[in-house]
Amino acid sequence: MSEGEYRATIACGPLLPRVLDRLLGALAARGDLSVDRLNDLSLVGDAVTSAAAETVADGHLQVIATPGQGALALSLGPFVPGGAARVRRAGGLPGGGDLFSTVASEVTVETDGDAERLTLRIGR
Amino acid sequence: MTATADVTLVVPAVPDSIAVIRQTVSGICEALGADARTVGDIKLAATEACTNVVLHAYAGREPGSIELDAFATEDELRLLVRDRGAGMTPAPMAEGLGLGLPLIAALTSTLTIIEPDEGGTEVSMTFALRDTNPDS
Repeated sequence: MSEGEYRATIACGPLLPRVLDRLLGALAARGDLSVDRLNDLSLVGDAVTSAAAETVADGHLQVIATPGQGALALSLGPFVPGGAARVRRAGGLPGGGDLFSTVASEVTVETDGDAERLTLRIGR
Repeated sequence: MTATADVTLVVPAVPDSIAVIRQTVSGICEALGADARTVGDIKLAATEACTNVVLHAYAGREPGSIELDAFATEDELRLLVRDRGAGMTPAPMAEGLGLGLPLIAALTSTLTIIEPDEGGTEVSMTFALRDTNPDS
């Protein structure tokens, strides 16, 4: 574990929506993000939760976060192949685009073997 | 075989991490439908256990982490707080009132503290989620 890194693993069941929402809120606060960004992250959590049952590879969503001053790096996964794109589509916005690219300055999909991870850089 | 936790959290053992742990525990309790008093008790016990790690586990050592595992059933929540630090040692010069562990014991239905062979301390706390004695 890197210094300053927060890791959570949450079973994709009834606990996931509430725990992910609370966790992302606390991490946003830890990164000194604005209240607007905190609300945005709540929507990100909703999108991930809504797609988790079909996209998370082993039934447990892993969140790796590194909060900074006015910034938060988030890595979510492991997703099945194509799962990261489905999670992004779950955060689709009216008129095109998705919530993830609106909230984050950088959104990438990393592949590790058969698994995918969705990585977001929020803030500075 | 070790059961897989419903929620696992590994965070730096620093004071700012306590808020992250409290919020996560709140989310677990809310999802399980615990009432406000029970949620408050569980958060308080988790805070005490994790504060002990921040204050004592890694004193004079390399910074380490707090590990929290949560195992939930319909009626019970078990929280396991673990560190890889120095283990439990007497602290006669500590500034606190020394009420942390008695407080945790009062808030839990079961409390177990062990020092694993690989070092550190494991505090296992079980909480009843439903009040079986409404007059209490």
